[in-house]
Amino acid sequence: MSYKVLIVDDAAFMRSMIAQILEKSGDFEVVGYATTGAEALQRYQELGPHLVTMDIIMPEMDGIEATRAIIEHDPDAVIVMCSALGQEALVIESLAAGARDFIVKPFTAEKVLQMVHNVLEH
Amino acid sequence: MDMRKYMDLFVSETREHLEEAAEAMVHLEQHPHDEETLNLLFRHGHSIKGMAGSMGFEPIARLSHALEDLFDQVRNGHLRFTPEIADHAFQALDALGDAITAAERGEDPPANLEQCGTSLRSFLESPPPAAQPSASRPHEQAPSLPAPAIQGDLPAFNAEIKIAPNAAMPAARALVLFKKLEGMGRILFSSPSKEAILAGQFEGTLLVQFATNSPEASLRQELEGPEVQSLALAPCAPTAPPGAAKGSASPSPAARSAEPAVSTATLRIRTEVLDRFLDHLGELIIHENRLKNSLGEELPLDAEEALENLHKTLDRLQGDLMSLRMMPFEHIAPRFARTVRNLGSNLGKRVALTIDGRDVELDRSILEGIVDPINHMLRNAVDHGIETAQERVARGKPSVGRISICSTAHGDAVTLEIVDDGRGMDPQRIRQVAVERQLLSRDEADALEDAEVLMLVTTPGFSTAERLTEVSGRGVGMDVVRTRIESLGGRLKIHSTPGKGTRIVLRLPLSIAMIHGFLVQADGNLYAVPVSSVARTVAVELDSLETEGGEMWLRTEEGRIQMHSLAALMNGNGLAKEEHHKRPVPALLFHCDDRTRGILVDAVLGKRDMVVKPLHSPLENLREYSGATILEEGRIALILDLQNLIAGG
Repeated sequence: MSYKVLIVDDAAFMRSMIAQILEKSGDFEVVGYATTGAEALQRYQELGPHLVTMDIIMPEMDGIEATRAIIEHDPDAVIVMCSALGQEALVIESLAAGARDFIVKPFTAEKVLQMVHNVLEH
Repeated sequence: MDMRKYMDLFVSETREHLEEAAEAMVHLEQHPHDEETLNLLFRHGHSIKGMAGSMGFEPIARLSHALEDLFDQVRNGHLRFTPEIADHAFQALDALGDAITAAERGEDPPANLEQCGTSLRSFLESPPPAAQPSASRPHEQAPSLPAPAIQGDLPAFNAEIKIAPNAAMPAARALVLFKKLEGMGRILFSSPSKEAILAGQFEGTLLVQFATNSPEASLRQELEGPEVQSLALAPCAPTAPPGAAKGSASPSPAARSAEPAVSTATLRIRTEVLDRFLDHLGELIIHENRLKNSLGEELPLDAEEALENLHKTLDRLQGDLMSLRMMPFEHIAPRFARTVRNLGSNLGKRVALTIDGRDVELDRSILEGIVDPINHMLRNAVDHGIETAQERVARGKPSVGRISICSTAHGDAVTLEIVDDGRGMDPQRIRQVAVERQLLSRDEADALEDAEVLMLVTTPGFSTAERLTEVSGRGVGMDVVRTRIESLGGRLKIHSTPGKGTRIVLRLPLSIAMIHGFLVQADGNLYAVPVSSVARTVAVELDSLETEGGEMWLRTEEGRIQMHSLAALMNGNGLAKEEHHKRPVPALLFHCDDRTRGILVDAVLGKRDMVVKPLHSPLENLREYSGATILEEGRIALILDLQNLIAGG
């Protein structure tokens, strides 16, 4: 079976890159996208994905707030953060809010797949 | 896995438990029905047992288990707290302390550990009638208590996880792993703590002790990853407490709240590491001084500014390091309660000890250094000072003897007073002994003031005299005490009133690790003098000195001051060189026994911060030096103790 993924990022480039990496592996199906934190919560409730990739800095509601909101709705939600270098404090805050893991840009396909498999399969 | 890291934690934490337990025991003796204290003692026993089991120290675990059972039975009302039980508990605590020391040194456990455990066990199995509760006292039955601090009977693991040095966001990575461990079991201890990691404080290695049902292989699978450089996992012995529900993975909230805090917001640092920091800081200060000297006076503005900033930063570093080294008197106070309690009980004397000023802070090396001297003075007080209860009543004193220790902070010094209300010291008898032992002539002895006579007990030939203790009530080994206090840069003074008691006053510096000192020269050698011991500096015309029977006197507005020559004191050389007669000579004035004295030097080369290096045997016996400091280019200057220097000369 393939895992259903929701990709949350305000940059179209990042959304398509992450989608490409995941779908190319054959184990994932991207079921939806969100470009703001508020939209992420709404899409999560509609789609019930196995995995959410979450950008940290976004307009309206940021990724940390969105993580908190999704975890409140579903404590078992599997959310991984996509962060840029220099955002360690924000990543730590996201992890404290309930995110499972994180990946730091720029990332390779190998790193992304290793991380998402790790959080989904353990 | 490097068990040494756990060993340090084990030793320091166990010692804390033992000290707190000893203090709780002293409290329990006065309040035998205090449930809180009984619970506390039970938890200390339990914690030590758990830690010792994890480390594989079975004999320590067995004795602490027996101790835990003892307190459990007392708090459940199955045993009555009697002096015999107190003795068993104190013996067990002492034996555990010795065993911890042996374990730390990698030695076999001492023989008394097993003996103590066996005798405590047999006591528990067949307690004497006195310790058995009487049926007519139902109110003494303690209510049943919630399950004690437990970690369940889950297998426990020690893990050392090193994050790869090139991993992005190591603290966040550590948090991910920490959360995974939390998801698989229960974290018992971690370094750094979760709070520290959440604050981004992480140095690359995570040490965790945790309890889990997950097999080792799946733990590895879960924790290993590209960001983890190495993962060391070692199972530790399970530590199921009595009465713990079998198979219960997570204790009830009540049990959780009863648990001693295992996660710490602070980081434990080996004291040797602090000492090394101080050495490094000392080197930095030496380099700074060298740099300043070699660059000379005329500097480009930016170089001057850089030097100034370097100096300020070193100053701040020094301040921070010094404050890290400060610890409250509280840290050593529990030991004194035990000394008094144990000796009092051995000698059949009743003594109450009060300790005030527990929050006064001192450098840890001074705190460590005063433990033995204070214990010694307390033993003297209980043994020779405090009278038996009958004698006290006959003299109109309360039957229980009183000893108090009080520490007070004054700026850069701390005063510590040890006062007893025992029989005191008799100056007349001390004079007599001094004459009998041919230490003084009758005339010399009579010429001394009472205060000076009391201090005679701190001179080596005097205080070793066994007879003295019988006549003076105090004094055995007081020379050792005084030497130790002075080697810490402190002063000791004895006050006593025959029949009323004795008061010993210690004046201690806050810190001996670093001093602000004058660097002086005499006869070609360099010496350091702590600025705090100097009242002021003056320039003296040698021609103006009055000489009288080999003594030199300086006439000042405040009166005549006796002057000494440092060169003469050090080398026995003549007073000063010829050229000194032609220009003023610098001198340091200082207070000695309520009088002002002066010391002439060839030159005062300035003031600076100096790291004090202690002198070791046999040099430590030279009272005129309190230590040494290393100067630029590796030169060494001895640090002078002016009072003892004059006394010796």
